[in-house]
Amino acid sequence: MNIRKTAILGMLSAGAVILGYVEMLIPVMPSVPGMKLGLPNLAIVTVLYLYSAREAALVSFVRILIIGFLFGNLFSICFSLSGAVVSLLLMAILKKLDLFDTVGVSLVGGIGHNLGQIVAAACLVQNVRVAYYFVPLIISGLVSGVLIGILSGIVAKRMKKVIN
Amino acid sequence: MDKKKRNTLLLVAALVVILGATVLIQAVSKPNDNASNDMGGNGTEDLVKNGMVAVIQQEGQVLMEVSLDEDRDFIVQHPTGGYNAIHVKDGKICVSDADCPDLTCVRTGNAYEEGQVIACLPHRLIIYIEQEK
Repeated sequence: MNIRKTAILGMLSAGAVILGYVEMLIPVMPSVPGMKLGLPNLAIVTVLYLYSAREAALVSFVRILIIGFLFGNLFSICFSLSGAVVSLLLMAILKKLDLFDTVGVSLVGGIGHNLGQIVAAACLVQNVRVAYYFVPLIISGLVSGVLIGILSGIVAKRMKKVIN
Repeated sequence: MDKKKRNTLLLVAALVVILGATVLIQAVSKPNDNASNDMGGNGTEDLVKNGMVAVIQQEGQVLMEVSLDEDRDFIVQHPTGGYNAIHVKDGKICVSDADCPDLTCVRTGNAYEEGQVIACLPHRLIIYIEQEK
């Protein structure tokens, strides 16, 4: 890893942490637990397009650890990871397939995050009824995924010029 | 238009159609429910008994079933320490207080319709509404 790349990944990780913090300050419909803006995904998708899935996973992991240590606990870290792993896996596969632009990749990531967390929640309480929140969460994942996808497409395009 | 953009638009359109249909079906399949829950707002003391029970399950085991037609407050303790205070009033149930770190269960608010769920993941607690048998 060269110095420039280290610096850029560090900067984007910091960006992801800030976005995660801002996201915590803006609650969206508290009656649907787990519904959130998905802002950190902006940094993750950007890294995915600037570099590759490996770097995106690194930034995502660093962000979850820092947010978890600052505001959460071991439980919240594990729960965040359950969403991030599914989301990243799906986004990495979709990007490899090269069928969609950033919007498509990001929206599948958004939906994947909610999917992963619902499955984790169902395992934790040993009851599939938490799927009650499935549809509203998928809808919010879709909407925020599309918006984040548009943004990160622009950010990645501009940053690519700086990097090269 | 470039191919990736077209594919993405198709994906978004497909998802919107599927989700829209799901929401519509859900909305259509329970209008009777809302009618019976509607108390008309005429200030009568008698509450409409709608025969809903809340099942409280912890660590995979059903702890109790409480009728939503009786107002009550109680506390559910978690074996490793920690609690959730449950509040039942006017046919609705909510977690009024808890010592879990995220307080998602408290923020979820009231549950009263069949199928609604309140979950407290740190305490492995789930409350779901069922029609009384």
